[in-house]
Order: sequence, then structure tokens, then C-alpha cells
Amino acid sequence: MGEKIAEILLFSFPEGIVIFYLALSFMAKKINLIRIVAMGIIFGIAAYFIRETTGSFVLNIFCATILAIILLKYLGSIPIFDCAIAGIMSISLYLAVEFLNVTFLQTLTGIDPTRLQENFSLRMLWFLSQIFMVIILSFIIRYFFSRRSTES
Amino acid sequence: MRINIYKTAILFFIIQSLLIVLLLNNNYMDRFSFLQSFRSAWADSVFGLLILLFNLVAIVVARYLYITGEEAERLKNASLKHAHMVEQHRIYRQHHHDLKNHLTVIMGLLNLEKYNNLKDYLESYLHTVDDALLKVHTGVGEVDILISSKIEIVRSKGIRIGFNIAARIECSKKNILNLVIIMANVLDNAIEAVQDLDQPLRKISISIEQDQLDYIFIVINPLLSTGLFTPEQFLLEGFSTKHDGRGQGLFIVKGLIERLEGSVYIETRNDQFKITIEIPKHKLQEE
Repeated sequence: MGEKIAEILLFSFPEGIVIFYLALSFMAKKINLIRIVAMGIIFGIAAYFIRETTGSFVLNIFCATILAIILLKYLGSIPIFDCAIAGIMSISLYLAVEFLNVTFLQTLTGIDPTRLQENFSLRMLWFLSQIFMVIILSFIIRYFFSRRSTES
Repeated sequence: MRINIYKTAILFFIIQSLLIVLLLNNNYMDRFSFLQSFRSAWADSVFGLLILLFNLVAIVVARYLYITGEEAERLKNASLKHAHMVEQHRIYRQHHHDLKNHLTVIMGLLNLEKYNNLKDYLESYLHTVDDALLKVHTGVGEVDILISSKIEIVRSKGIRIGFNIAARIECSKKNILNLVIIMANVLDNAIEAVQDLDQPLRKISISIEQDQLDYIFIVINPLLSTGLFTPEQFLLEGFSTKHDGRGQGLFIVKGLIERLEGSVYIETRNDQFKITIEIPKHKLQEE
């Protein structure tokens, strides 16, 4: 039980928060940190249980994407089309970064990714680099989109 | 309900990008048997079918985007034509309105048997009508209307204008808008430069010529502060001799000319500003 809570707190919450930060960066919207954290917490808890229930990666991502869109719509007060675009793009980019991060670190260190399930600190280390990359990407996207909207 | 093809296309291609990443990650996880359900084989088949369907629909979406793009281009040209028709109508109405006044004067001069005055008056009037409506034949209707309307504006501001059209322009539909924008900006720039000068100095000269390769457009107007600026400065973004945040016109012209692989030269000598634009004929005719 303690392990589950730690997993939600240390992995699912930050994951949810950066996904919504990324989604709102696409819209160059003013960031309301409280809302992002709230959306991230709800998404993190729900995503954890969806993963546990479905047991399938594809189904898990479909459900998570729909959940992200719903949260953006109702907690972010954003038009549905923008929610769909931002939600899908952020999940898609997050997954692409996740894939790159894992394959790059696997190639670099030669560690078998299945070992991550057993070694908590190693998993944390790999996860942090991924979160860091997504945040950097969000900053770049936000800077680019804000500049474009100011120019227009 | 009318479907917005652009929104549909955006949504569609974003879903496709999600599916591609999903496939990539799922295959990677499959190698380590991580998060794969016992129905994985079925899930993969459904997933594959979904991607196939999306690829098929992509053809339809791309075709609709192409058609919509063509339609947008057509509407842009139609809108330009409409604007010119409105301008032409305005000129016609103005002349129609003036005609009654002119006829009254002619009748008055006839009644008073002042034939010499009548002759002068008629010559002057015919000259005005000639210059504004009859002599502008560049070969591009839109440019004719533009120059005619600018002549009307120039005259209303008490500016003298001289123009010489020694070329018959052949321009593809695609480039008409660009040519109109170039001419409009150059003429507006000249009008703005001379309208505040003393009456004897107010003069603009327009010339359209051609050589074997290029169409050459020359506009000359007086500019009292020629020594203060280098010719290159006039083509910079935001540069204006008025110093009040304008100065986009010639920068836009420069951009369009570069796109048409042409050249723009500026000479500022003897209190005169001369802009020469050379546009390759083949680029202007290019469909």
C-alpha cells in the first residue's frame, strides 16, 4: 500500500503536472499553478488506477488522453476543440520524450529497462531526466507560441 | 452543420501523431512484456486497422485541404476584383455627378457665346477625363483601376501627375495581387511624401517601361530631405521620414520584389526621390 502511494506521489503526480503544463504551453495561456497542480493530482491518481485496471498500454493511453481532455475542458475552462488538440498533443509529445529518454539511457548505460521496476532509485533517476526534458520542451514551446501570438 | 476542414485536418493529423507514438512505445514495451494484456494480439490488430483507416482518410483530408486552398485562392482574386469594381463604380459615379455641373457651365458659356472660353473649358475637361480613365492601359485591369483611382486621389490633393506607360504588362492571375500591392504601396508612399509640400513642388511622375527581360516601374517625387538619408534606409522595416511609427510600405514592396526575383533601386539626388522596380517578365507571367 505504501509503495503504491509513493508511486502515485513521486511518479504519477509530477507526470500529470508536466503533461498539463505542456498542454497549456501549446495555447500560450497564462499559467494558473493551482489549477495545473489540481489537474495533475486528479490525472495522476486516475491514470495510476486506469493503468492497474486495464493492464494494456494502448487502452491505458486512450483512457488517459480522454481524461486529460475532460480535465482541460472542465478545470481549465478551455473550448473543447482546443482541449482536444492540447490534450492529444501533450500526451503524444510526452510519450515521444519517454521513448527517447528510455532508449537513450538504455543505450548509454546498457541497463535492462525491466530492472527499473525493481530498483526504485534508478527508476526515479530515469524518470527525473524525462520530466526535466518535458519541462524544457514546454518552456521552448511557450516562448515560441507567446512570441508568435504577440507578433500577430 | 458545415465541417471546418482546417480544424478537422488539425485534429486528424494530431490523432495520427499520437497513434504513431503509441505504436512505437507499445512495440518497445512488448519487447519486455510490460503492460501487455492477454488480448494484446487482438489489440494490435485493432490498432493496425485503426492506423490503416486513418491513413486512408488522410488521402481524403489532404484532397479536401487542396480543394479548400484552391477555393481560398479563387475567393481572394474574386475579392480583389470586387474591390476594383467598387472603385471603378465610385469613379464612374463621381464623373456622372460632375457631368451635370460641367453641362451647366457649357450651357452657360454657349448662352453667353463665349466660344473661346468654352473651347478651353472643354479641352481642360477632356484632358481630365482622358488622363483618369482613358490613358491607363497597362494590360492588367486591376493595375489600371488602381492607377486611375490614385490619379483621382492625387488630383483631389492638388498634386500634378505625369505618367508614361510604354509597356503592356502580361501578368498571371497568381501575381496580380502582388503587383497591385507593390504599385499601391509605391504610389501611396509618393502621395504621402508630396502632399504636405508647397503647391509648386507637388508633382509625381509614374513610368512603366519594359526591356527584353524585365518590366520596369519608375516613380519619382520631390523629397526635400534627400541628404539626410541613405537610399538603403528607405527599404528598412519601420523606416519613415515622418518618424511616427509608419514605414512598412517600401519594406513590404522589397519583400514582394524579392519573392518575384526582381530588384528595387532607390536614388535620392537633387531633392528628388526615385524608386525603380524591375520585375522579370517570366516571373510575373508564371502560373
